[in-house]
Amino acid sequence: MKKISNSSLLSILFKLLILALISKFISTILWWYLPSESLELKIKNNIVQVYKRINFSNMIKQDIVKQKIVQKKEVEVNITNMILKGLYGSKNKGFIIVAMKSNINKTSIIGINEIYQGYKLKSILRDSAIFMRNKQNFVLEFKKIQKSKYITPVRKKKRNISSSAVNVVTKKDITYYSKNPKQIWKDISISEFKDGKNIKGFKVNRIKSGSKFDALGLKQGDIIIKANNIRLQSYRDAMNIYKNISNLDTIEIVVLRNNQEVELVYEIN
Amino acid sequence: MVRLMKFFAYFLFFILMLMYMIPKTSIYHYAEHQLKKFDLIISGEELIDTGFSLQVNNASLSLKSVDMAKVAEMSISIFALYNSINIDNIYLSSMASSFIPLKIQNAKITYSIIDPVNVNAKAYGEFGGINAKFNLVKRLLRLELSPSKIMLKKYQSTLKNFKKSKDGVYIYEKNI
Repeated sequence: MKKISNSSLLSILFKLLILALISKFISTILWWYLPSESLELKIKNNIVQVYKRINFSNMIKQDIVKQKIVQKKEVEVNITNMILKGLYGSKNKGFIIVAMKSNINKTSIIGINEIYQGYKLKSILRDSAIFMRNKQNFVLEFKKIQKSKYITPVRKKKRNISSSAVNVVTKKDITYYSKNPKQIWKDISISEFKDGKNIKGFKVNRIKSGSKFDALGLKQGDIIIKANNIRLQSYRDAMNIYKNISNLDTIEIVVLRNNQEVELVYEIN
Repeated sequence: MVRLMKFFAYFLFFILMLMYMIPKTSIYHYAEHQLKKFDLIISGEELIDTGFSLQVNNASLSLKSVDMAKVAEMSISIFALYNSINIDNIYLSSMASSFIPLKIQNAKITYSIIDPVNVNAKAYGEFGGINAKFNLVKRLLRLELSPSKIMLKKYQSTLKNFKKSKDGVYIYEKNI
């Protein structure tokens, strides 16, 4: 036993064990203090409806024509001694608020199929109510209100549509800038605009006069907040627009100009 | 002399044990947090501790939340005296297609005690080959590019940023 305990081999092994323990101890301390979780790219959901330009004028015209036809067919007599003060509901549900012209302050709430002054409320339209009496239809329309008196602003920030209406951007220009990215930064200077820690949009710091960007209606100080209905809250949002630009035929951007939202629409030909 | 040899032998053993036992994944996560300060994020990767090195597979690199590149395989070896990062198959984002061919076959970054002032890197791919040197004291980055035929034909706008030397190598220098 004495021989073994005194052997140099055991001494070496003991020293190596000590060194291994020290390295394990250092590793444990590092493991304790260093982060244990990996970082992942967090992408904020910026899901919005795809931007499309639709001409509603035909639909509106058809609707108006239909309404006129319905009114002509159904309505034969107007009620002249009643005033329609309010309505809520659709064709077969809801109620209206009416008063007599002789006593305008005394209002009554009438539901569908209820009778008021001998007239039965049959249905409610967008801006009128249809009554029935002796198998005859009578229409009671809203009294026209002067807009300036009653309309109050709902939003503080109004959105104006650019006076130049729709600008045209050629695909040739886009190809030129994609092949010469340095030219972009010569013609326009844009930087992120933060609201606290979050990106609110991208600010136009400088536009070279006479450049293609200058002709597009952008101005120095504009903050681009939306493009094709997508809020630009990260570089990723902006780059996604840039990447898909060849597949787009229209770009609509919303900029903050003098604290007002201004909409600029570009057609890509 | 024997004592000195013994000391070095023990020291080498200690370093090797430390390299083997050190929590490489935790150090990697710490490096990730440091890179995040520069808006550079590595995500979606698979980490494998192979003993003396750390294998990183299928990593996506993004700068300011914009996808920059995908890396198929990366091997990180840290031995204090000699450290290296070997990267295979880098696919750059399509956004870079205007500046450079998108596939980089291999890139190797090394830092050795023999050359303590410089971090060296070498890479080759469809663009050709490049030698990079970053001087830690002067904070000077120097790139020496030997462009491929594709690079010379299609990416002249990128090459305009380099200075052509007499031996046909394109050189780029910048203080960072």
